[in-house]
Amino acid sequence: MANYWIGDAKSRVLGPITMEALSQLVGSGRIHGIVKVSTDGTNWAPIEQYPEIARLQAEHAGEALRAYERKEAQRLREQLATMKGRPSHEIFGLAQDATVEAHRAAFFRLVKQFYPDRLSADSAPELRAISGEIFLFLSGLMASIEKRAAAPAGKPRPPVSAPAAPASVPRPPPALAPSKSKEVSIAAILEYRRSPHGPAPDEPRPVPATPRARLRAAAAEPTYEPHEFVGLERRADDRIEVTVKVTVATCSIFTENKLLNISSSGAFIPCKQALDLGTELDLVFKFDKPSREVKASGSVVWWNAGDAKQVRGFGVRFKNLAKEDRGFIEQFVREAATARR
Amino acid sequence: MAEKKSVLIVDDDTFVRTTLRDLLAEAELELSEARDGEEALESIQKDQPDLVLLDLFMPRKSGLEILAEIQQLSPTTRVLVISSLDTEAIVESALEQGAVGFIAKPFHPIEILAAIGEALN
Repeated sequence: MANYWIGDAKSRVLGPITMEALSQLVGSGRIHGIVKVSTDGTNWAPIEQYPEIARLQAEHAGEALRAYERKEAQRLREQLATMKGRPSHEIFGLAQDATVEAHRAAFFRLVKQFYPDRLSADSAPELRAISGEIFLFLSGLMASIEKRAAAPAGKPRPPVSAPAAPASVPRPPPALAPSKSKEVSIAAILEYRRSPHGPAPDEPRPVPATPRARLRAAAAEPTYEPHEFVGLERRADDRIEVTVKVTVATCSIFTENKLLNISSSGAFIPCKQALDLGTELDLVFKFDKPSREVKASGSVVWWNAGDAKQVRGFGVRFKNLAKEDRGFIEQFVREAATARR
Repeated sequence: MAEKKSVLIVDDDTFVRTTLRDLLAEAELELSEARDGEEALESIQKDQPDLVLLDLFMPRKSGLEILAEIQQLSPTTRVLVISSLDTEAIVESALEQGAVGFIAKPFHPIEILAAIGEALN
């Protein structure tokens, strides 16, 4: 059986693999964007010269894929309904007296299938939504099992069951909401109008600000929520979109603790969602007077966890702001500062 | 005093390498890193680490090729694959070639620490 090596635009290579293995990888969405192929790992040719692989990749893109994903979303919704109300050990395929370690192992095997960021940014919204719901449902179940295992001995411990339908299955947080891409919602900024310092009251536990702190918290006291899982590379088409409305009242020039700080080189954007340093963002600033939409890309260069004096949020450095937009922002900021005096 | 065990982290993603370093920072381990397949092979040949945490989809040389060569270069080195390519065929292939385990990305700190502990003991 012919073996192949495949490569993507980032020069990453994988091989030797059989056509069957490649079909599984492409069919499951694990691999996409193949640009070159080899049959010896040394001599490479564009994918077009290997019609069997070009065809495979084409079959798993576009409308055919969307139709499959919508069908899959329906199947997963039915699967979630059957999970509700069942004992946790049954959901994880374990004996009733299985240890917490066995539950963890089974949980990790199962839950990763539903990690929403494993799907491409343009996958069917229904599939992203149900994947997020199942992930959070299973995470909640596993967190309950951990809690029960950590409870003092001697007290009777009823078996953990999944909440019965219609369960209070937590809705996906903004990062998991069905949308073309992840969004840091403007709602987060509005929340800060009401409660400008620290996380909103409905947030169960603050997310530690730095990746290292998050890792330690996850290892010591896991909640198994999506932010505790690491290791998936951000895809180029999976950038976070941020839309921010800029008014004179919300704008300042890094001199005051306002809701939004913007200059022609970067911005501070209040948000309760922690973002990793280096996260790539597509930004849209909607200015009100004069009305203008400014688009820019940038990356997160710092994160402020927030305290009694400072608003929680992240700092972005712009990468490719057009000259005319730069001039417009500088002018807007100058006029806004004058208007506030 | 017992010699520190050595772990080589092989991944082209800086974030993953940093994450694993952070997770293992307090363990009594000698940590090193490689950013691609060629760097990994050089490091394995030179240092003969006790454990390699190996990505599969990387520049210059695939993790599957490294797995095939590692048995010759450093027979006592154990390999734990950490990859998002966790289809049945790839997992089987990695385990058949001598990997002691396969952790699918994204991973949880509890999961990865347990797997590393098991692989080193």
